[in-house]
Amino acid sequence: MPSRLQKTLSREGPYYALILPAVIVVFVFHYVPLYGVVIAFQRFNVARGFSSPWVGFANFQQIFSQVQFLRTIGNTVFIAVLKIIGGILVPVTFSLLLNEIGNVLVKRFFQTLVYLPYFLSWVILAGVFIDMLSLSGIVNKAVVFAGGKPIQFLADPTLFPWVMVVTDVWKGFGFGTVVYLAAITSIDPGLYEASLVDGAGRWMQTRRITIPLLAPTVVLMTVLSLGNVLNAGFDQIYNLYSPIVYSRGDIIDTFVYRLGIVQAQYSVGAAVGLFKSAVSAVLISLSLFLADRFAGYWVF
Amino acid sequence: MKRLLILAALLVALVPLAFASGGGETSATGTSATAGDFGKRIGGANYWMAKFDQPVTLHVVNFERPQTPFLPGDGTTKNEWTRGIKEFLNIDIVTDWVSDSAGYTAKLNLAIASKELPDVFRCDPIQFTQLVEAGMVADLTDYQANNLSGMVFKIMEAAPVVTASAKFNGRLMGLPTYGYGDLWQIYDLWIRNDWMKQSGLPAPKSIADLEKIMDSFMKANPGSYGMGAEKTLNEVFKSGAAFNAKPRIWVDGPDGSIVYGSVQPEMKAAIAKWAEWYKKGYLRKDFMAIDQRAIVGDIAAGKVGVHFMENWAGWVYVDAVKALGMDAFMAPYEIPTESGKPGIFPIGFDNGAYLVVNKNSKVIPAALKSISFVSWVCMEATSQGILTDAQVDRYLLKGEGRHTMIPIELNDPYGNGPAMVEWAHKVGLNNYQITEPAMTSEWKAQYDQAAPWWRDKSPTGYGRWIQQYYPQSSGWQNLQVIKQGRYVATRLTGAMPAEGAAYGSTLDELLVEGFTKIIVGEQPLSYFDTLVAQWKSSGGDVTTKAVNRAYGKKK
Repeated sequence: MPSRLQKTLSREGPYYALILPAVIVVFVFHYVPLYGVVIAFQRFNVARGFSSPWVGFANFQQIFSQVQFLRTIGNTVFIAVLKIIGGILVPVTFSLLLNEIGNVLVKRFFQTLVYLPYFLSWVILAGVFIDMLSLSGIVNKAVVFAGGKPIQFLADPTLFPWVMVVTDVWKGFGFGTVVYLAAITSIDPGLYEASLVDGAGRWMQTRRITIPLLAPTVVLMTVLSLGNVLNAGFDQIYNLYSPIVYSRGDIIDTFVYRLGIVQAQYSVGAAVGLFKSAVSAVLISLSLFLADRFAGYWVF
Repeated sequence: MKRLLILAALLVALVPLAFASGGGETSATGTSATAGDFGKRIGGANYWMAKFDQPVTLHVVNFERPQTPFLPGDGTTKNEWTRGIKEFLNIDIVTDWVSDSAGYTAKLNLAIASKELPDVFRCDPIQFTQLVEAGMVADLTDYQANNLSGMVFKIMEAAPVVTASAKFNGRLMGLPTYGYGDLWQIYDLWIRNDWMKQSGLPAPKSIADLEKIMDSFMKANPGSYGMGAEKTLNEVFKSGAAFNAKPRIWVDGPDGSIVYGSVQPEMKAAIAKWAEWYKKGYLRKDFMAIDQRAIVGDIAAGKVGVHFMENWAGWVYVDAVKALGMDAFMAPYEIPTESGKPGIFPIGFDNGAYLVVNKNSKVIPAALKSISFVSWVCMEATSQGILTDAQVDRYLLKGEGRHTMIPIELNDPYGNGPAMVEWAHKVGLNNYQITEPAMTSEWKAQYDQAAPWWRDKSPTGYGRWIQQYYPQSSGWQNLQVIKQGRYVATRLTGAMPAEGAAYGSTLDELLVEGFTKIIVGEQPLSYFDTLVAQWKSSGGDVTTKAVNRAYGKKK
């Protein structure tokens, strides 16, 4: 009589074996290199490698003593949170609207159109936006035509974070739309038919059926992006910022880039990286807890 | 079930393939044949060029320079240089890896950390200090006499401060790659030639003169603005001499210790003037969001005609000549001062890299002979009659090919110094006829680069012509400054100490951000003092102390 373990193994064994190569790769490339975190506590010197002198928390003390670093934390959270909110509201709204379109071809056309910018790199888009948002660019031409004065979108520290959020949401909402649209189409049409019998109008249907049934997908997408709350988008900001907007536009990653990567100062870069990871770990745990609590959604 | 297990086992066996991708590069430290002739000398000027009896393998690493017009079939690992070194010295150059130019430092750091270094390679000043301290580079002192050419010694003597930075306890631990000499470190004020002629105004001696010129330009060309400036504030720093400021270098302070030029009171005067210029509308309203490309584009579009830049700016301004005509070239002028008296110019440390030999290398003489060979081809081969001009051109490839063998290339402050500028100046005054023979093949190659300007009226020659052959060339004007001793050299004659390097570029950026705010009027001039205090507490003090420890007078 085979034991329970043997039964489980014979049933699930092959599946574990299939995952095994991937697990080994993740272990070797993501867990073993974690040892490198010690660099954050050393004055790392490539010639000495891991035998570089230990300096304890000196690297952390250094960055926290720099006034520029402290404000990057606030800037990063501000921009990232706005991007997450925008990155949910806009695609959800747009997919609801798109869902109302009857003609499949028209629907597909718009879906593809909004999805395209997602694939463009920020290096290219930065050039486009710098031109569009310049004092003599198309946006300011419209502003002047409407009777206003030209606005320095990319040189005004107060406006800069908002410009980053708007342009990033514009670039990425196509991706979210595809996901949400798929979720909407998977809702049982029988529910809509039943609601029609009860006399529900279009808006009532959206409010009472579509949105609640879309909620788990929205929660999942939010949870997935909460881990990103300290990544406010290095690519985009790096290509669009300038010293005048550092006070509101400099994020942790761009600061670390100037601090550590340009002159290969790996220690301070690692220190900031460790700090970010610690904060992200706390935030992800919090978001998983919240998802379970408020949406009944447990990832595991 | 059994089949599934076999399948799973096969998949596990495939795991090593995941690790195999991306690798495959072998690199060996110095190996193979011994230098049979260490100690052997041949007579004459080329005593160092003793060909090895047995082939010697020299491992190097390099980075791509895509603009090099290689001969057909050639590339970074196989070219006229590798062939020449084989023919003359019997050394096989083996390139372990080639990176792109931006990733070279990172890749080299990786090689250093994994202790897989070639025989000879180029590193930056910080890596150099780390390698010396870790005992990973060879002491070259005793190998010099037999393997470095007389020309290399002349180069070393032409820039003694730079050479000293490669010595530790009197021992030569590497060769600096050198720059082109102090005279090429001086910034110039570039002004549009045809607009200058139209205005009838003389060359500016004072800031007031400069403002008159800008006013005249803006009046004569509606829609244009006065002065180029962009978000990095590089132009502000380059204009330092106008205000007796010494931005971006370390100088002797009033109390004898070394201080950073960008936070001294003279810099405050500079920022005040630029703020005034912004208010008066001389600068683009949105200069703080644009980069240098936009300024160069504005010059080519006739929107601005005044710009602080390096001596080689002609190479950047060539589009303006192409678009606006041969007379609309940008001409260099010595930077005017507030008082109207001749200015004092700040000079940085004229070296950015070092050539080092692996401590474990068995072919140190071969490395040094290869370095001597590169300088020999550029400077002596034709005058000695061993190579013809045509043969040398296959190495130099109109000037770009010279930089192919980066791991063994020295720049040349000796050949590119006053002698060259004087020679080119004479040629320029003599209707471009060569009056005296060129001292090195490079002088001739550069003459050929400039010739299209006067021979074919072609803009392609503009960059070199305005730098050396124009009667008031940037080289000539800078040379006068050097001859008259009107310069101050930085006290940071080597790498930034580790405590300071740990701040990267964030300290300078803090200043750029604050200076920008003052210039556009967001902050009053008194904010300068707040900014300096912030700079000090955010790492400026730590850096200043470290620089004083390393380079202060107590040594």
